[in-house]
Amino acid sequence: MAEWRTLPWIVRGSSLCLLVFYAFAVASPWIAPYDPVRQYRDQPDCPPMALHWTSGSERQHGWLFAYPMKMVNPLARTFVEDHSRKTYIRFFYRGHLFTTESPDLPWFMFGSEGLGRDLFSRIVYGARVSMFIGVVGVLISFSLGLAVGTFSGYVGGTVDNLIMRWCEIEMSLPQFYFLLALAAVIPSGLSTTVTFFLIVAIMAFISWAGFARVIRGMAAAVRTTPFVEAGRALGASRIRQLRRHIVPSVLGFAAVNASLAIPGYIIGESSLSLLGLGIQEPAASWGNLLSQAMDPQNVLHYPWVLIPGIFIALAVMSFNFIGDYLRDRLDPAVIR
Amino acid sequence: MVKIRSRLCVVVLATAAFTACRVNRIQNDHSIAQTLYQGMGSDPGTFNPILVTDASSGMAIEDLFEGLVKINPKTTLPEPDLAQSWDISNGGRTITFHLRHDVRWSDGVGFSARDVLFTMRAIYDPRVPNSMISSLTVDGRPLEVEAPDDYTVVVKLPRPFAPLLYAIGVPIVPEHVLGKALATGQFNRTWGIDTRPDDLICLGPYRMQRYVPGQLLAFKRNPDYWMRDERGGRLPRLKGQVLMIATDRNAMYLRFISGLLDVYRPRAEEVWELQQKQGELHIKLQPTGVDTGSRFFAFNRNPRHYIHNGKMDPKYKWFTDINFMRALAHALDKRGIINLCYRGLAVPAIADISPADRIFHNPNLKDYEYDLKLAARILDEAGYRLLRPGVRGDPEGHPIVFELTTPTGNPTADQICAIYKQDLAALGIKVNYRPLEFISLVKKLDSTFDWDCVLIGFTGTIEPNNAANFLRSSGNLHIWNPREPHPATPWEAEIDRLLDAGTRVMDPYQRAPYYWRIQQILHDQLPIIETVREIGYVAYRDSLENFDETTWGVYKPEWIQFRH
Amino acid sequence: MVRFLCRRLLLMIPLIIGITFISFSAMSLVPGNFLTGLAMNPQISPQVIRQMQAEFGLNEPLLRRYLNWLWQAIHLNLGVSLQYRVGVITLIESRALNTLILSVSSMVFTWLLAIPLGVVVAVKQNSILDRVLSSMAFLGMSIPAFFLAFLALDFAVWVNKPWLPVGGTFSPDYANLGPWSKLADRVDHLILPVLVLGVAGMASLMRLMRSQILEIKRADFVRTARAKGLPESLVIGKHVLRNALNPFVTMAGYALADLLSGAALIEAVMNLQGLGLLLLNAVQSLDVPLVMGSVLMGTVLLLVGNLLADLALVAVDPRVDFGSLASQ
Repeated sequence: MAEWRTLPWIVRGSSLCLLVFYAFAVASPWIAPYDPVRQYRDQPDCPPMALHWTSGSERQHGWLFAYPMKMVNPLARTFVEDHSRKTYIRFFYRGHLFTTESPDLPWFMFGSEGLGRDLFSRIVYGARVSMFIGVVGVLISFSLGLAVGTFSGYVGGTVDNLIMRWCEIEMSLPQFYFLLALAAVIPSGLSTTVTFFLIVAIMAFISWAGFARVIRGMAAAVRTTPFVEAGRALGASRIRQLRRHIVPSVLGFAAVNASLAIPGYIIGESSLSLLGLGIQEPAASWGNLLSQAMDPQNVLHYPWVLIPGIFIALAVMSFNFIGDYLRDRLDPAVIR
Repeated sequence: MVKIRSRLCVVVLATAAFTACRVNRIQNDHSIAQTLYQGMGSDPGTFNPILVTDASSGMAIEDLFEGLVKINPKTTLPEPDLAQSWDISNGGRTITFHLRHDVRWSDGVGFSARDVLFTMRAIYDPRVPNSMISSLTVDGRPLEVEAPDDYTVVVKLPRPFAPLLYAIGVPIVPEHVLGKALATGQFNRTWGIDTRPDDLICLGPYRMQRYVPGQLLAFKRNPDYWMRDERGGRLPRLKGQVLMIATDRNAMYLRFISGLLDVYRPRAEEVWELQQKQGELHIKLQPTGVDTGSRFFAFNRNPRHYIHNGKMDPKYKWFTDINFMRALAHALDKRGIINLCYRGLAVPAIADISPADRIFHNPNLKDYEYDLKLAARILDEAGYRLLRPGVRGDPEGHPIVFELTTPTGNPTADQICAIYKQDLAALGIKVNYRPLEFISLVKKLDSTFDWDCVLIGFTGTIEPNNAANFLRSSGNLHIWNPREPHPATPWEAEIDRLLDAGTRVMDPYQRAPYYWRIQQILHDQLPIIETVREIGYVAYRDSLENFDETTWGVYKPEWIQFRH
Repeated sequence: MVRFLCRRLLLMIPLIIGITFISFSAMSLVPGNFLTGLAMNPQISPQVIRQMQAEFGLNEPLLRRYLNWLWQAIHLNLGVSLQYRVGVITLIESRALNTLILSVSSMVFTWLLAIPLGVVVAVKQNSILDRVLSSMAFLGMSIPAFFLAFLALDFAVWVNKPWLPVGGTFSPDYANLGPWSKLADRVDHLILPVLVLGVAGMASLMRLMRSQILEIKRADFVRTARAKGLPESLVIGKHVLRNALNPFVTMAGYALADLLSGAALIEAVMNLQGLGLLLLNAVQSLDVPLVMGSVLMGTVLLLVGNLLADLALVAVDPRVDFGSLASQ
């Protein structure tokens, strides 16, 4: 692996970004300032709150404070700062990275959502789902697709034929049905985690076939190239050929494809939620947080509902830049 | 590179040509054409009025056909329509309708009592599945309908049956067009959505002009319509109507904003913006009233669901324990729901009949106030104590956990469930929430009974007996315990008796006490916990005159017109 | 080649039977049927539902129902939709044209723009242009398409011009327009959906093209071509591009199947009367004949698309021949 310093800045930035997001996922109770399901029912769709410096004797409460917000028009959901009270921000306090002195007077860094829950805390907890769903799903479907695709393309013959026909069957099935059927069959009362893994497995199982077919086309092409034929003439075993020649030559394409597939999983998870199959209220994922932004009314009046979208975009772009970079590094032409 | 660059140029040029290719057209002026544009949520399923089972089909044929009577949305009482008057005789067992003489079908044939007889025959035909037959059946027997002459229809009942006047307004279909199809068993295939508009022989204020699937339904005025205004002028005043189909609510809203639609029923979150923009958009915004339906949490009290391996699931005891249910009722934050989900534009629902049903709604019930401390005290006193912090158990020590479900795709229902779940968690009651696809959910409610608690809504009707299927212990929609062979509890038996008695009194005001009592019983026994009712709004172009909408529908729609 | 074609065409028969049978069985996995939804309607009695059940033949065993369907399908009769009580073919026909127009134009738009851009970006690897376009592509990929559709509609309202309509496939007064205005009206209504559908697809296509070109650019034969002194434009155009097209040809084969599958969410948002929405509704209400009709159509298109893609692969990629494809 290359030295950190020699990496292009964009790759370093992307890695940092992903590192932070994975920290969100692993240490969510510590990073999130509030309980992600606690509803501040008098503060729905509250805008992000400004911070102010404390002065004088207030310093004993910490350096920063915010004015709590009060809803003045419930129909329009407009808020004003309540200057009669202050809520102080404390770091490393009550087992959180930062939080307010009293959890009853919250400071909404990114504002609150429709039920008055802290958006930032929900984003932090949502990373648990969103940062893993893409990676796990892509891992399952791409290792399956890569293995089957290269094998099929390399071996050719009846086996290839059978495998490709199976892929075709799998691809032409109306996937929606299987999801619907599964939604009805999955017993209720499963924990969010179990449901989550079920979804990932289903999505991965559905999507490997198309990828396998593309890879197989490339493998079939590579098979006839001189260096593979030379290897065959030299008596290289099938496994060795697959591993040394075929797989590396399609890996770059696979890496890019994989990084392209991750957003599909993150976004796809949110449409599954609409089907009753995905992450359900009150649990959060970036996908279902963004689905609040499906309503143009919300976007116009409460633009902070788009923040989860920024996180999704950042994660997706980071994966892509890193995938891009890895592709260059993995390219056999460069290694040798 | 040259090649590539030139290819890029082609693309850019093509795009430019693409966007430039447009015509300047005069903006649609609805008021010059006197054509009203409204939105509709989905495509109709059929144009055959007898076969309609969905709201969109109902909307599509609403202005094409008429019944003997219609319900006035303001008074909520039946009024003459194709029948210009009726007499009730024989102690409420015979109703004689006198039909209008001046009504013609759109092919010129006169409307007569034979069409009414034919329509009733179609409804009672075992080969024609339809949604009207159940409300036109008294004690399991069809009505006896006779026509002594071309303009008189006599309906004979086995006993006095008050709901009949509310049910008899079924759309009348022409015998001379559909008679043969019914005789040959082809009736279910007639007047599907592929019918040519001219072949839909109708007699209402409008005729269908065009149907473009997924896009629009256009109607033009019926020049021979029988109704006249006070000065003898022709009605309807509009020359045409268009129903634009838009599956997505947001798309519908944007179309109204951009002037493509003239009428729009906004959601609570859109009301503020429309209120602010009334001048700018040239619209008027009015409340129509409290929602007619009812949305409630129902709890499964069906013993068939709870017996596992010969042992009774403790949930059965919880949900049939009035103390437990009272605590659950006190834990529902209706104020919070109103503010969070409806922006304050809703009222707590107390009775299962909406206040919009002004005669039958019971106004004297006292709501279970939201009070978690009180709820906890009720639970403690009834033996449901905290096993450990955050976990409450029943008197036998089982921790209290149950499943909550609702149909998928309804964000408001999701939010209501999230709010309730949060409050119950504060009481130490764990709720597993998972919405289900509608069909799967209905399967559970109707045949497998494999559910604990469901948030579900029913639409309301003015006639309270239409809810009999839900209220009666033997009903299919008796959701907490459908199709009981005998009433499982004394209060369910009392509701059954009240339902029977309530249909025997003809005068609506004298009927009301029976239904008030039913509402009282449901409120006391809590098989369901009512949530809230939204206050509806309607927004329309300010150039529209005589537009008057209530929660039960538009009042005197024939008088609507655009200002000249 | 004839042998290859015959084999593949013959193979389609068991494939079609397999796919339709699996789909048919999957539908019966879902508890309930088309009529279950009606049970919650207080106006509809169980007797009525039983009648309808018998009328639609929903009481028969699964295999019997499937064979009935298959037998009719062989006779080109796809049955009657349960929801609409109209022939499935009529229903599909009424929507197919809209979907076809939309998907062809968005595909042309996407491919015409994405492939050249991918090439440009790859040729100018690591330049500012590459970085900007790549970032934009990533951004385009991370915005859900249905969300983009909302933004587009919002934009249309904001612009409020008659030539940028708020959804729909044509104006309400379409029938009264002249032939040229009709065409223009259609085109007006296509602008936004094509853009929306194009953006997401374009981003990923462009990225794929870029990576393909970069890969091929390093291949020995490209180096040889350069060494021969060929001008760069010829190297790229002739050697690199031809070889880079391999996966795209396969993808174009799938695209054929996608032509008539529609995009339900976007259709819903932008109010386009396409097959996607029709199918979504059919699936949600378990309208079996309608779903099976579109499954059959999709399957045939996909299989034909794959076959065409393989044929095209032979034509385009110098490394692939019938031997490698049809040694089978």
